[in-house]
Amino acid sequence: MPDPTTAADPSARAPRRDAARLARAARAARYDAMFAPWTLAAAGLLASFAFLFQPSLPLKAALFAVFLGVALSSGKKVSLPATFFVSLGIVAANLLVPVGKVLWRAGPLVVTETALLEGLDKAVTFEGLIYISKASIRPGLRIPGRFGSIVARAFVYYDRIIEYRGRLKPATLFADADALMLAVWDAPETPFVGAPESRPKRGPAGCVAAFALVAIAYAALAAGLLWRLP
Amino acid sequence: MRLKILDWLALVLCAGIVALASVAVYSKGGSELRVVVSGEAGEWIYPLGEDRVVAVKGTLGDTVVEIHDGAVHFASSPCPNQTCVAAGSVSQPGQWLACLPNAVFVRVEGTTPDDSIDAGAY
Amino acid sequence: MTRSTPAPTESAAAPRQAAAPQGSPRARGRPDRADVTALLGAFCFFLSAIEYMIPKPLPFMRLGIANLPILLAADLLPLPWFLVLALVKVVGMSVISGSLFSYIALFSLAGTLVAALVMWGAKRAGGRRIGAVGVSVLGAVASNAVQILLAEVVVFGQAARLIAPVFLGMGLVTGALLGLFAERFAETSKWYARAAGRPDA
Repeated sequence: MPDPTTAADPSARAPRRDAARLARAARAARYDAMFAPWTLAAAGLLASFAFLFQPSLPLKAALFAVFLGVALSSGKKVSLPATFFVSLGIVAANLLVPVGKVLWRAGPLVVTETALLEGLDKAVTFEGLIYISKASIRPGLRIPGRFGSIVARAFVYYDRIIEYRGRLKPATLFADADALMLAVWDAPETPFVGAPESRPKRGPAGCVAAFALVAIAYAALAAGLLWRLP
Repeated sequence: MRLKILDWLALVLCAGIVALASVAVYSKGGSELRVVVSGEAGEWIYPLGEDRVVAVKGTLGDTVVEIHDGAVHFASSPCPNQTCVAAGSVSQPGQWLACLPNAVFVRVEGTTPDDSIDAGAY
Repeated sequence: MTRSTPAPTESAAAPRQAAAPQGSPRARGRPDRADVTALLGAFCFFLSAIEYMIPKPLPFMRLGIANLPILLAADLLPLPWFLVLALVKVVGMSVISGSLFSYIALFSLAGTLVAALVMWGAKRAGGRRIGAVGVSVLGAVASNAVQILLAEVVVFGQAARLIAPVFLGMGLVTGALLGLFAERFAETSKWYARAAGRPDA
């Protein structure tokens, strides 16, 4: 996706933002040198299942923190304010229908225990899944099979659309859009972007770390389930 | 380009769906009924529309309150006279039930302030 | 978002003229459906990137412009390829934004599949008496309805109902506008004529 921060920014904050982006890119490079895309995808999928079915809110919140840390070290953009406000919205929406013990009351506003816990659980689940997903789905991931080859082909076209130098003007929108479609479709074939890259040799550290994450998630799941036993 | 007959029909159908949804959601004025249970340890609120069984601690022990099919009643009580269990169920805003020996009160509230005042007047 | 780097180095170095390769298989006869599917899928990614940059009052509000290629495809592709396109859209977008294992991908999958199936059904049932506007509006409203239901179950609880009318109304408006665009585009586009196997139309 085109990154808004890559646009020329005349403000004084630009250098700092550039530095942050460079640091993020460096982290991403380190991360990708350590993990093979498929190892990550498999580990992420397994861990997200354990996370989803975690019955204990404190353990789920702890896993959320782990996922957040992994997403940070993966070089993905992590916006804590966005996470905070989306979570706040989810909790507030769940509080609108009061359920459970009244914890606090101010006029028409009632904070009830069950609704609050439910809202927190949903917010943590929603955001936690986003972070583990961000950390485990890498751009280098290639989906196998015929379906995968169509997706890969779509990525090639997507790159061409982004590179397209023509303009889309409101007055001639239809003709311009048509020109864009034709240009992208008929562009001369370039060396296949999605071709198997020269595979960097990755050590066993990545596999061990990925396995550790999955093990932590399932250990937490087991602990949470035992906790819930009467 | 002209819209065809079924295009108009689709637009009208969808506008109707939007209108129906608006009426269903907004016209009730937030009159979703709720059950307010108060006992020794505090106050609990539950939607009247969801079936549920809750045990509330009173001075003698646990009174079991059951919400079923949009009405609420005492399912069991540790009190000696069992008047509260015999009282049956209530479902309208402002109506209430009480188990005096065990000090457990149940009332049905709308979300509008009027209902709360009525309910508070018992 | 990943893939933010606009140019993979190999293709950036390549000449960018848009000259149609004469005698390419596409120039004559029916075009390759996998290819049409991939191109339309790429436009879904692109439109969702644009959608992502449009500021919105609520984070979960969407205009649904990424469904435009699917609307166009209702006339271009047979059902199996049409459904493949819907899946390419969901999977591709989720891989680009890294949301494949999150609820966001679930919302995208449900909304896209329902929109696609409703659009297809409306197109088949209406035949010549329905145009892109009708097809688009039905798809958009159905898609938003399913997403609201999912939002109620998964994130917001009953409060989701409060925004349901707004969300459905938005589907009506954006669906109608997208339909108007698609109708006009399909009438004038040379690309569309070629993809439909009518290169000289």
